[in-house]
Formats: sequence, structure tokens, C-alpha cells
Amino acid sequence: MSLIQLIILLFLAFSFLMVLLVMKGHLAGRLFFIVQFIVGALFVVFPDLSSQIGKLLGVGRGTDLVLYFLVVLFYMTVLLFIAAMRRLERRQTIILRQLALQNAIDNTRMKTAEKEVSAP
Amino acid sequence: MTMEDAMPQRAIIVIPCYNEGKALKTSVQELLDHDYEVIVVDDGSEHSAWEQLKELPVHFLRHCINLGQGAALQTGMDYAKRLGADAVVHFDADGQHSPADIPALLAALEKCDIAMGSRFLRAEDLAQVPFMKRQLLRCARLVNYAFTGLWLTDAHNGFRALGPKALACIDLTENRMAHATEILSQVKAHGLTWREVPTSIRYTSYSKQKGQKWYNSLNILIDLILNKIL
Repeated sequence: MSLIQLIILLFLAFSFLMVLLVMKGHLAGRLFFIVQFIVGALFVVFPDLSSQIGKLLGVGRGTDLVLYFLVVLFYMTVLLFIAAMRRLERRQTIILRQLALQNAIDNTRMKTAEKEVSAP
Repeated sequence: MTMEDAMPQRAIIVIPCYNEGKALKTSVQELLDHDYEVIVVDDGSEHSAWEQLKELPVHFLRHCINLGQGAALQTGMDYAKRLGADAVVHFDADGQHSPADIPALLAALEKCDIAMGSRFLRAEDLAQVPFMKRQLLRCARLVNYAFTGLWLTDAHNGFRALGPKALACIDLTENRMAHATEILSQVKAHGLTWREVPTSIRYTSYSKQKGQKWYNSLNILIDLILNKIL
């Protein structure tokens, strides 16, 4: 095994564990990343594998195949992040609305108060 | 049920505002002169609108950050419900709506759940709308009809009155979406009855500058398409 393979495997394993830790209680997400890790590790350990699968799918080189998947995955990740952000935005709205309602100022009784206290 | 039961007992005016100038105070004062109860929702203006309103007998609420006009309207409606309102009128802060039109909107609530103002029902109101804006709004009504099935003569008028049923059903959630569009889709989803009421419009250089730019209509179109697909 060459040095680069070892380095990439180490990074892969590290980020894999981090992702699993963060995704507490998300079984589907965890399974997704477990599969991803296995496929990634296989590609690193057997560099020819990507080329073989690429040929099978009608893509010339293995690196191209990896690039295509990367683009698709990137868009999926962005979409997931946007969805998560929108959920956060909705929660933020609920919190801020509650805050606004709690701090509402009722100035409507001023009219009667005005009569008692003469304006300076 | 007598006629008086059908008329809203307590109607409250909700004004959302964001970085408004002096026009806000003038609009609010005008409403107070007509003896209306007013809720102003400051949607995270850089300088709180409270400074110019504190001498006025109004209800004042403030979002500490900007959430969008739809969110501000919803906050105002939630507060109006707490106050026991059975009808709410949405009113613009920039002085382009006239308090004189409010009785007609409220009267329309006797026969429907939501009454929407329209600049297109009277020739003299229509004459106030700049030519290009008129053409744009004409296209918008076609688009609105295609996507929501509601044939409105005025596609994006912020002047409307909501009766008790509409007040209970309508929940503006999409902060970034044009709330006028979201209201229409909810009117359809909840099967609310609606009608249009002629309202006047006063365009000033201030309200033109504060109003929507024409290219924003592209955003509204995209919202409508997304809303249909998703």
C-alpha cells in the first residue's frame, strides 16, 4: 500500500467517525455514510476498481466516474443543507414571534392617561 | 342572526413596517383619526419605529431581526387574536392605502371570509396605477389564475380584510415567499370564500421607492411554480 493510500484512508476513517457521531439518531443518514465509507475505502485500496466500474457504466476513466458522482453528491449535500436551514428559519420565526408577542407594548390606554397628566 | 351579528365586532388594523420614514406615523395617525385600533409590527428596522410612534395610542410589536413582511403580518394577526379581534385588516405603512376604504372591506366580510382590495374595479383607481405597473399586474392575474385558480382583478394588493374563519385558517409560514401569493394558495387550500372590493391607491414618490420592483415579479413567478411542484 502506498503512502497516499494510507493518508487518504486515515482522513476517510476520521471524517467517517465524526459524521457517525454527529448524526445521532439518524439511522438512514448513518447507513448512507457507512455505505459511502465502504465504497470509498474500496476505491482507495483497489484503484483499478473505479476504472472497471466506469467501463461497465460507459465512462472512460475511473477518475471521471468519481468526479461525476462527486458533482451529484455535492448538489445533494447542498439541498440537504438548504432544507435544514429552512427548518431552522422556521424555528427562528417561531421564537422571534413569541418574543415579539411577549414584549408587545400596549399604548392604547394613553388617551385616558393624557387627560390626567397635562403635556409639558 | 341580525345584520349586526354578521358585521365584525372588533376589527383591528395590522401594519407591518420595515425601515419606514415619516410616512408610517402619518398613516397610523390617519387610522387613529378614524377611530381604528392599530397594531404596528416593526420587522426588525435598523432604528425601531417605536421612536416615532410612542406618542400614539397603538399596539407595538417588534421582531428583533428582519423576517419578512409575511412573518410580520402573521405576528400582528396572532396578537390581534389574543386581543380578541374577530377581523383583521392588512394595511401598508407607506401611505398608499386609504382608511376610507376600510368600512367597505369590513362590510364585505359579511358575505365572505376574506375581502381583498383591488385597484382594477374602478376607472379612477386604475388611472392612478402607472402604465407599466398596470400591464405587469394584468400578466400577474393570468399567472395567479393558472397557479391558484383564483381570478383576481388585482393580483398583488396588500390591502385586505380577514374575517374570523380566515383569521383562524391562514398561517403565513414561508418567510421568504411573497405573502400575497401564500395567502391565495391558503384561501384555496382551506376553501375560504372571498371577494374583491374596490380600493383607491395613492402612489407617492416615497411609496414607489418603497414598493416592489418589477423584477421582483419574476421571484413571485418562481415561487408559484415551486409551490405547485413541491
